[in-house]
Amino acid sequence: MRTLMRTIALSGGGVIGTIMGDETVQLMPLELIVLFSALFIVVGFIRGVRAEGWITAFIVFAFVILRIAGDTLTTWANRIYKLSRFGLAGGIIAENPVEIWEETVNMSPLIETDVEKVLFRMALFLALYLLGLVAGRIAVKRVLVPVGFGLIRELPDLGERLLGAVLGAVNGFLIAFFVLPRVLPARKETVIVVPETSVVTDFMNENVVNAAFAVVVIIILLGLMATGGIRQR
Amino acid sequence: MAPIEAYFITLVVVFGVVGWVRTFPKELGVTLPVLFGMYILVKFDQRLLALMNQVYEFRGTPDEGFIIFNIYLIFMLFITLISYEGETLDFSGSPPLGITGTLLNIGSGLFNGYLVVGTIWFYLDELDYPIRGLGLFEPPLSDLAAALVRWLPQNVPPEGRADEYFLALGVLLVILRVLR
Repeated sequence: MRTLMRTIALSGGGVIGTIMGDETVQLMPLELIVLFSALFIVVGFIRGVRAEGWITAFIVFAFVILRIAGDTLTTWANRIYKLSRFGLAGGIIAENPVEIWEETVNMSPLIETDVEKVLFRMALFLALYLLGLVAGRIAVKRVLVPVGFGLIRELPDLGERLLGAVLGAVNGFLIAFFVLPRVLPARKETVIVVPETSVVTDFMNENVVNAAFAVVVIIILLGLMATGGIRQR
Repeated sequence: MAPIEAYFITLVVVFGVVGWVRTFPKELGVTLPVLFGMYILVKFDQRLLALMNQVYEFRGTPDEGFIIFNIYLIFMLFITLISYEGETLDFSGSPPLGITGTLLNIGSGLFNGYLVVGTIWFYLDELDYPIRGLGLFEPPLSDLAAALVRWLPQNVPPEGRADEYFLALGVLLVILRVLR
C-alpha cells in the first residue's frame, strides 16, 4: 500500500491527514462524506443487503429517537447516574443516608455541557448502530463453508451483495449526516469563517431525500425478492 | 371537531390495515398508478385546471379554491379507485411468512396511505384549506400538523423536483413489473 493514514486532526472545515512520510493531504467535508460512503459500500458489499437493512433500520430508529427523545434520554441518563452514585455510596442502608443523599443532590450531572451532550448522543447513535450490526448478524444466518483448513461464513449472492453495497452507501451517508454536523461546527470557535461546513450541511440536507429514496427502492426490491417476484440466481 | 392530523393518521392506518389484508405484491400494484397520478398532478396541474376551466368557468369565483381542491380530490380518488378495483397491476408472488411478511404488508399499505392521503392533505394546505367553509377545519394547524405538513410526499423532495422523484419510482416499478 502506497500510503497509510497515520494521524488525522480536524481543522476548520476540513480534515488534515498526515500520510506516511512527509506527504500531507487535506480532506474537505464533501470528501469525508464520500469516504464514509465508500467505506460502508465495502461493508455492505461483504454483508449483503439483508444484513445491511438491519443497520439502516437501527440508524433510522436512532435518528427518530434522538430527535424526539434526545433531551429526555439525557435527563434520564443523569438521573440514573446520580441514582447509581447514591447506591454505590451505600444508598438507604448507609450509616448516614441523608448525608449521602445531599451529596448526590448537589453533585454535578454526568452530562452537563454542550460537548458532553453531543458526545452522549453520538454514543447512543453508535450503540444503536452496533445493535443493528449484531441484529443483522443474528437475523441473517449464513452457513459456514470450508476454505482451506478453516471455515468462513458463506458470502451472499452477487445481487444481494450489490444491493448491500448501495444500502451501505446510504448507511455511510446517514452516519455522515449525523456525525459531521456535530463534529465540524465544534471547530467554529477557532475558525471564524468555515464555508465548507455550510456547504457540507447543504449537501447533506439535499441528499438525505436521495438516501431516503434509495431506502424505499431497496425495501421494494427486497420485498419482491422475498415474494419470488424477481428471479434470483 | 378532531384535528386534521387525526384524520390523516387514521386514514393512513386504515390503508395500513388494508395492506396487511391484501399483502405486499398487491399493494405494490396500487403504488404504481398512485405514483403516476401524483406525477400527473404535480406536472400537469395547471393544464388540468385550464381544461376544467373551459368546461366550467370557475377562475375568479369565490369558490375557486374549493373547486380546484375538489378537482384534485376527485382525480386522486379516481386513481385510487382504479388502483384497487377490478383488474389491477398486481405483482405476482406471495409475501414471506412470519414477521417479515407482516411488516412488508403493513408497510406497503401505510406507504400507499401516505401517498394518497398525503397528496390530498398537500393540496388542502396549498389551497389554504378551502374546506373551512364547510366547517370541516378550524385554523391554525397544531404543532404536530405543521410538522407533518413538511413531510407530505410533495414537500419532501427538493423544491420543484417532486415530479422527478415520483416518475423515477414509478418507472422503476414498471421495470420491475415487466421483469416479472
